[in-house]
Amino acid sequence: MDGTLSGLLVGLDVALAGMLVGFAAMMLTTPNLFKSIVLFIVFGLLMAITWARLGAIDVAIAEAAIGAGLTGALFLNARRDLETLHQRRRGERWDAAGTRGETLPAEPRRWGPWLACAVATVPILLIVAWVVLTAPARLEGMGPEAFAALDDSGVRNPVTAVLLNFRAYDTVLEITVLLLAVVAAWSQRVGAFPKADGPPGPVLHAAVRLLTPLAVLVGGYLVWRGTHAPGGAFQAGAVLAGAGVLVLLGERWLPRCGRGGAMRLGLAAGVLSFVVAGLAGLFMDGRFLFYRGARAAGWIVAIDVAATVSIALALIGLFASRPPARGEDA
Amino acid sequence: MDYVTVALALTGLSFFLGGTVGLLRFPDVYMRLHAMTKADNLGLGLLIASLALRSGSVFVAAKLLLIWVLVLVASTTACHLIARTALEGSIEPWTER
Repeated sequence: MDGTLSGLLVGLDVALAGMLVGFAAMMLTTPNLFKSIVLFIVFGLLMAITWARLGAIDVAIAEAAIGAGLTGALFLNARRDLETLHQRRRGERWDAAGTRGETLPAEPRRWGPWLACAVATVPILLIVAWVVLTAPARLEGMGPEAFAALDDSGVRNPVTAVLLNFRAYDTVLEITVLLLAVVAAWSQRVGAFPKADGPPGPVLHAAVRLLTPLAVLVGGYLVWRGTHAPGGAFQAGAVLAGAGVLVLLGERWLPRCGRGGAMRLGLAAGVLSFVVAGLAGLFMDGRFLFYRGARAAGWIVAIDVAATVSIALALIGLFASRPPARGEDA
Repeated sequence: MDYVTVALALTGLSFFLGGTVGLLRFPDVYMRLHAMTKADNLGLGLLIASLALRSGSVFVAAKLLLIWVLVLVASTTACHLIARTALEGSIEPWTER
């Protein structure tokens, strides 16, 4: 029975790996943009399952929420904007040719780019394969040191300890990059969030009313859980961002942001909390962003909450792709 | 008990299979929505029932049930929105025999 189970698991892993490659190939070669976006979302889901199979639950949750969910929504947004642009320029819908019954003339397949990519990636593939096959069976890395210092870090989840304590610099820079991405995206366009063509239906409103408080609850739970089990700021922020995206799509309770002061403060809160914690560490222990022992838990929770708010607002801001409009619903 | 859970899981998987066959074979977007929403949600419900019975803990079973309810809400909303958009985009229901 045990042999069959491990055989089944090996089969599952092989099938997963094959599907990953297959979906990636399909996603890159299909000419229909919508189809490739849908394939991307499915690919993200398969990646999440792969991470779960590898035992990285935190990454699996983050991949499912951000990689499959939110990035898919961002891609669909981009596609809608491309469609609007196309319609404005050509005066007809993007897929008008299809509904008229015409098919676009097929472009002759060009092999040049494919050949160039193959020539570039095959050596990298060979090197990666050689490294994987000749590496020792168990690479410990910094694992033992991290686990040894776990008690001192203030949390019981090693992933959170590494992210927010031992390697806090990396997380600061990640959150700063996210903030910069929002700034860059917001500088591209202004104006109100585009509304749907018809009146929004009652089903969407009911779903938003049901899911938003639940999402806030789940987000809070994930942040708290991140201290002792898989979870954390990125995952919670992604769940909250999903709720925010739903509210934006539901359109009925568009938050009045005025000039968006509260939202901008929330966006900066993540980076600010890291800076405050870092300076506190500098004054108290002589090193920037250094906290250990009993104080560490407090700092980590504070940074976690601030980072969650920041990440959620950043992802919502990226989905809206425009800053809150002055004086209107935003 | 093992037989019950395995039977539930297999029935759920068969519903998933039926839903996917419907997705691939039905000639109309509205019928495909039927297959996807109804068959897949029922299949998921049976799978969740099987997992809840195997979990042995009330809390885990309750969480699994909550997951099923949330998937129901999400897929119903999505189905409704897709159908509305299709109707407004003048996709006529398939009426041939």
